[in-house]
Order: sequence, then structure tokens, then C-alpha cells
Amino acid sequence: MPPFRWFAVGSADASVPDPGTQATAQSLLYDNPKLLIVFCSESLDLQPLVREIRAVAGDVPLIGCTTAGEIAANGPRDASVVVSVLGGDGFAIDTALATEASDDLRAAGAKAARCVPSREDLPRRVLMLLTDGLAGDQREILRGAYGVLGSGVPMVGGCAGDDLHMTETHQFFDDLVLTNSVVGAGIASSGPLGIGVRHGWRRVGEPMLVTHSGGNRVYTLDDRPALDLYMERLQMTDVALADEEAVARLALTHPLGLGQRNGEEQVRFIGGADFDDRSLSCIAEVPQGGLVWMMEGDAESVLSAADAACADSLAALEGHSPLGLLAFDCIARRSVLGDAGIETEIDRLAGSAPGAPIAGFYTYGEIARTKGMGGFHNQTLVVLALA
Amino acid sequence: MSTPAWSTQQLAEFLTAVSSARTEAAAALAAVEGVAEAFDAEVAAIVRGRELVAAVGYPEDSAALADLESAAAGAREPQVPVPGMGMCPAKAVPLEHPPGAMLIVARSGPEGLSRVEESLLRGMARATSMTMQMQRLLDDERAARESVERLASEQAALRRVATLVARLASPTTVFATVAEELGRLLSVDRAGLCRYDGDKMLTVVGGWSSTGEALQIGESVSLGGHNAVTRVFETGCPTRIEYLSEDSNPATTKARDTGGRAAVGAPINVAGRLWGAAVVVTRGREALPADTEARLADFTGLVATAIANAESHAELSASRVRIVTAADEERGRVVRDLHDGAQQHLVHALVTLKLARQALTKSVPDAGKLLDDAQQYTEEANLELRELVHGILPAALRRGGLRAGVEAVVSRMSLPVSVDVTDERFPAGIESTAYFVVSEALTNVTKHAHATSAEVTASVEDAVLRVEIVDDGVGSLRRTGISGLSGLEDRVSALEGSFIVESPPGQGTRVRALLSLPDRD
Repeated sequence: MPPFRWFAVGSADASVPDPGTQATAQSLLYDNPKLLIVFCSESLDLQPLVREIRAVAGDVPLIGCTTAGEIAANGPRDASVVVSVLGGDGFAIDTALATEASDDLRAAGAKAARCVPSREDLPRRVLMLLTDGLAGDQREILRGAYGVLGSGVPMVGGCAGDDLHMTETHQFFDDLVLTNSVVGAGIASSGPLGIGVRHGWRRVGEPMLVTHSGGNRVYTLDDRPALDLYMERLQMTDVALADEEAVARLALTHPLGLGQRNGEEQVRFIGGADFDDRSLSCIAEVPQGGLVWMMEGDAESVLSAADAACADSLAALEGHSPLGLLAFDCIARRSVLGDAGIETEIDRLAGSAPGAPIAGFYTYGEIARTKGMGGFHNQTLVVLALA
Repeated sequence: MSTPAWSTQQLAEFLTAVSSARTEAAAALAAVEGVAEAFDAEVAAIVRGRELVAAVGYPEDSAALADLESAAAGAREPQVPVPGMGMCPAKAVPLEHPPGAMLIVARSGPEGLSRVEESLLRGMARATSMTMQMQRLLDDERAARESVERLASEQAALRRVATLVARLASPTTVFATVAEELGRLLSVDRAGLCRYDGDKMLTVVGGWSSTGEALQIGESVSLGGHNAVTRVFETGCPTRIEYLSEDSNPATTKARDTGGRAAVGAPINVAGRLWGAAVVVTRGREALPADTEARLADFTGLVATAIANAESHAELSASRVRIVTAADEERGRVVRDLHDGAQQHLVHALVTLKLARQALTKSVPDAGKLLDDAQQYTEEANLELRELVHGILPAALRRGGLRAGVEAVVSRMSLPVSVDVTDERFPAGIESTAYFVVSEALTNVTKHAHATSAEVTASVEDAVLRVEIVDDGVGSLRRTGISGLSGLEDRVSALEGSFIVESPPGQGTRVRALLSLPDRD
């Protein structure tokens, strides 16, 4: 008889008393929990929330983060907490924490990656990372993790959010509420794991040459101030943007795309701008000397991508029924879909795996590495299917 | 995107990434990462013979070097293992620098690189070679510059220490300066100097803290436990340790309680013996650099002479003070003894003689008794003077030499003492110094040693008179304080000799004086 594995999800609105207690109680359906994954709104009182969860779950390893919205089986939510639990002898799970990530992002990724169990009886492995997307170039974190794990262990996860304030996100590790951190959970399973990655954006217009960039900032495109050319391409030169948050909201539906070998662009989320030097701030590096395109999407392309991502993840389960799905969904897609659209998206996710619980959050960046070395995405839906 | 446009873009991005590397090693890593990302490949590596220069795609420290070597060696359809994917097609292209190196890429899937991708890979190889070669030159230049700067810093530090010694600065000042120079040179949190005092004790003689906190100088601590000062004492060699939380030895807890996590220590040898140790301590999680032991040992080797000179100056000054004080005290004793002893008897003799004269003049029958009394007082005064002279320099020593003087001292002792002393005669200063060493040492044996026997030997070897007094008592004799040995050390030092006391607890005492004999070469 194969070892038992289980996955369950609980959720609670911030308006109820003890939302952490309620969400955790709902999720602890069976014995032998191995990992708690907590997604919650920045608007909740975080330390008391984590205490509530730990009071119910005890010393079960815990990772989690704040979001730009939460996803549960009853649909997308704001100002709520979602607690998912993996358990059973069919899972072996270890966790790791790297603090002060911005001091050395690569080292932080490496440290967070050193937690993937090696068990001959549990051959399917994945590293889940939850990062502070405001800490710097997320690709460096993944390079650090890749340097530890190599290509034999896929990676999945997302960047924490803060309800689009773009000020400070938080990550959770056991009793700790942190910022500027990377938390990792190494999962070894007796059953298959499937990862699907799709975005549904398409390029628009002629490419622009990245004539000057550094770190996460794009200073000039086609030798012109990046912010100015960007607004020109959007035909919004007469719009005076008030602050970085305004730029971020506008850019949600108009990301940049980097050309890939296989023809599909890698999307880059624009998190803000500097009104003094007219540069754009992205959540990962935009290589100088490269070509970028304006990207656009609509509800249909985004929803189609969601269907495809689900299908890809379920197809990797080799015919096994899914225990559940974890979704890391870019906040930008939510802006394209609108409130009704995101309900539809979650319904489609749930419909692809009837009866399987769903959990996830709206992210500032997504992590999915299954082939090649790269694994950081923007404006993308990443789905992890567990069997 | 068209293929040429993609190629151009990838090469542009690759050049940007590789050219921003600061060292040759960083350029190699940026190159393999850039290749893997550009080709959507899992594995990329630079291999040079049996050396893995850089690689991505394998778990930490487990690159498939043999397979990469095989691919680099020009196998017809090379394959390398891609973790999680099995054996996959690979492509290897040569690098111009480092000479003999190959850039290898492997991607999952049945197909290898297309012709366009191969062309791009060769372009990337050329860019990698140029960048690594340039960075190698810069690395070499940087290393040379850092070496020169380090040497200049060390020389400046030594110059500052030497200047202090030349200005006859006190040992306290010199030790504090040496500790500070060490701390700043090695960029550590704390630095200290300690002197080994025998009986497995040390004294902290100098210290420096990067935070400016005051340190306890002059404190004595017992050796033992897992710490740098004890390890240096036991081995006489540089050492590196991490403090253990369960070690309760005073030397360890003292370092650990001030936040020390790890330390490096090096011996300070003066005149061929282990004088003390220099220790640097770090609070941080990062290990002290691998060359810390060597740098610390080099610096302490150079300042050992300065430390010895500083102590010698101070000791010389103190010795002069002690000698002058001892001379004054001796003069005072002689004056007191003369006044209280011989002078009193002579005064009595004078008064008695005057009374005798008066008696003779008046034909009083007491005159004879008065003359007898005067004679007695005079003889007593003579005896007092003889004993006084003996205390200054005994007659047996003056007439019979060192052996006779020693035998005279031993004859007055109740403790059995064996004597094996040469009967050779020496210059007066050497004989008297050797005599007083034996006399004072045997006085300590009688008063403090609780010994059952003692042995006195004196012989000449290589133009050195070696005098040794050994007992089987309780040991723990100290050179200062009540033992009176510090005066002997001054006397021996004044003749440029050596004076050594070994007195471990419970193991008896050995006092040794080595006196150079002039005109014996």
C-alpha cells in the first residue's frame, strides 16, 4: 500500500474572530501534518495571526507570506487568511530561512534551497520558495538556489505582496514574521508533482532596445528616458502620474516582454518609476543590450493561459488524481480580469481538478523552474499540482 | 523574433553580464550562467583538463567532471548527464583563455544545438575568453597591489612600534600599541597580548577592541581549556580555534563572555623561549581569513624583539632602582650594626680606660679590674667587627674560594645538603655573586621549602660558571616578595648572566645561575 499523503485548505475572513485559529482548524483534517503554508493579507495583525495558527498546529513547520490577494476553493479574496497543509508519510518536508536577503540575494537563495530531503522512497521532489519581491533581482535568488540543487529539483513559488502598496512585504517562518527574507520548503513525495506555467500576454508594436539598465532599473530605452518612452508607447504622455504606486497600477496591464529562444516572451512586471531620473523599476533584471516589447493581454488570453497552466500541471501527474492545487497568480492578471474575471479563473482552476482543494495567492512575481536554468516569471500563473 | 535578431540580442545580453564580472572566477560563472539561460539549457560548464573552472546545473560540489571531461576531449557526439533528465546531447567549443579550456552546454531533449546556436555559442566563447583573460590580468595586478599595500601597512605598524621602543616608552604602552596595530592590520574585533608566567598562568599585558571598550590589562588567568592561549602554550605553534559553549575554563569564558566566537593565536618567542602569545578574536559568523595565522605569526615574530627590548628597558630601570635601594639599605644596616654593636663596646672601653687612669693616679685598688673590663669591651668590639665583615664577605670565601664558602654555609645547616662545587678560583665579583646565590637559595630551602634534602653543584662549561641549587620541597617559590631572589637576579644580570627559577607546585625548586667567565675564549 503506498504511503498516505493528504492536502487540505482552510480559510477565514479577517472580519471573523480568530481567523488564524479558524482557518487552521479547517485545514488539519488528518494526522501527521508535515507543512503549513500560510497566505494572508497585509491588513491582518500578523504576529497575533501566526500565534493563533501555531497554537492550533503546534510545532508543524510553517512557511508563508503576505499577498496582493488570497486564493481558496471558495474563490479569490482580500483581507483573509488561507492555510494549506501537506501531511502523511508520503511526504518528507524540511524548511529553511534566509534573512537580510537584499545583502546577498544569491546567498539567500542558496541558503533557502538547502532543505530538500533526499529519500530513495520519496523520489519526487520540489523546492517551494516564497520571497520578498521588493528585496532586489529575484533571478539572483533563483541562481543561488539552482547552484545548490542543480537541474534535478524543480522550483515553484512566488513573491510576497502587500496589497499593491509596494512598501514592505512579509514572510513567515515558524513563529517569525519577517521582511527582506526568503523562506523555502523542500518537499519529497512518493507521488508525482506537476508544474504548469503560462501567462497569456502577447507583444505589441516594435521592439525597444535596452540602451541602459542596471540591477532592476531600466534607465533608457532607445537612448531615451525609459519612463517617457513607456508612456509614449501607451499613448499617455498627457497623463501626469502622481507616484510610484500609480505607475505600478498602470503597468499591471502593460508589462514588458523579453525575447526567448522558444519565441515566447518572458514577461517583466514594472513595479514603479523614478520621477527624477525617469527610470522604470522592475522586479527582476532587464538585461542591457537586449530587446523588449510592450505586452498586452485581455481577459480571454489570460483565462486561456490559466486553463493551459492547469492542464500542464495535471498532465504531469501521470494519471494520478490530484490531492490539490497551489496557485501563484500574478496580481497583474487580476487587473486584466477584473473582479468577475478572477472568480471565473478560480472556478476554472477548481473545475480542472474537481474535489481537489485549491490554495494560492496573488503575487508580485512567480517562480517556476522545470526546464533550463531560468525560473522567474511575471504576469504569469504558476500551478503546482500534488498527487 | 527572427533567429538572427534573437542571436544578436542574446549575445548583447551575454556580453553585458560577463563584462560586468569583477574577477576571473566571476566572469567564468557569469559565462556558464549566461550560456545556460540563453540556450534554455540545464547544464553549462567550463572545463580545463581535469579542472572544473565553473559549472551550473549540478547539485553543490557534485559536477559530473568525468563526463564533462569526455565531452571536452572531443567525443564525436558528446553527451553529459543532466540531473533529472539523464544523458543529453552536449556541445563543446574551445576557449582561447584559459589555454586548453572548453565551454560546454547540455540541454534536455533529443536534439542538440542548431547551427545558429552553435555560431552563437562560439561568439560567447570568444567573449568569455577575452573577459577572463582581462580579469586574470586585473586579478594579478590587484593581488600584487594588495600584497604591496599589506606589506606597507605592516611596515608602518612595525615602524610605529619601533619608534615607541626607541623612545623608551613603558612596556604597557608598547604592548597596547602592538595589540592595536594587530587588531587594525587584521581587521578583527579584538586583539591581545599575553605573557606566560609559569605555573600555567598568563598575564594579559596588552589589548585592543574595535568598539573601544576598555579591557582588563594586568589580569592573571590560568591556562587550560579550549582556547588559543592554551593551545599556543602547549604546542608553541600558531593555532585557530572556535570557542566551545560547554568549556568553562576561565581563559575561554573570558573570551566568550565578551562575544568572541573564534580566535587565532601565534607564539611570541624571545631569545629562543616562548615568552607569550598574540591572539586575535572575531565575533562574526565568518571565519577569519585562511592566512591569518601566517600574518599574525609574521608580525609577532617581528615585534618580539621590540617587546623584549621594552621589557628589558623597564627591567633595567627597575633593577637599577633595586640595586641602589639595596646598597642604601646595606649601608644603613652596617651603620646600625656598628652603632649598636662595636661602637657601644668601644665607648664602654673608652670610659673604663678613663676610669682606670683615674684609679691609677689615685692609687685606687680597682684599677686592675677596670683594665680587665676595658680589655673585655675591646675584645667584644673586635668580635662584632669581625662578624660584620663576615656578613659583608665571609672569610672562607675570600680565603678558600667558592667551594670553601659554600661548604661553610652548608656546615651551619641542619638539612642534609650534597655539595659538588669546583675548587677553581674566579674573579672576586663572580665568586661573591655565585656565593650569595647559593647562600640565599639555601636560606629559602630552610625557610620555605619544607624539603628533606638539597643539592648544590657548580661547574665550568664553555666558559660559563653554572651554579645550581635543587631541593625536594614543595615548590611554588616566587622570584619576588619574601624569597629575596629578585636581588640575586639583579646581581647576576649586572654580570650579564642568566638567573632562572623553576618551582612548579609540589615538585621542588631549582635555582640556576649562569655566569660568563671573562677571558676564557
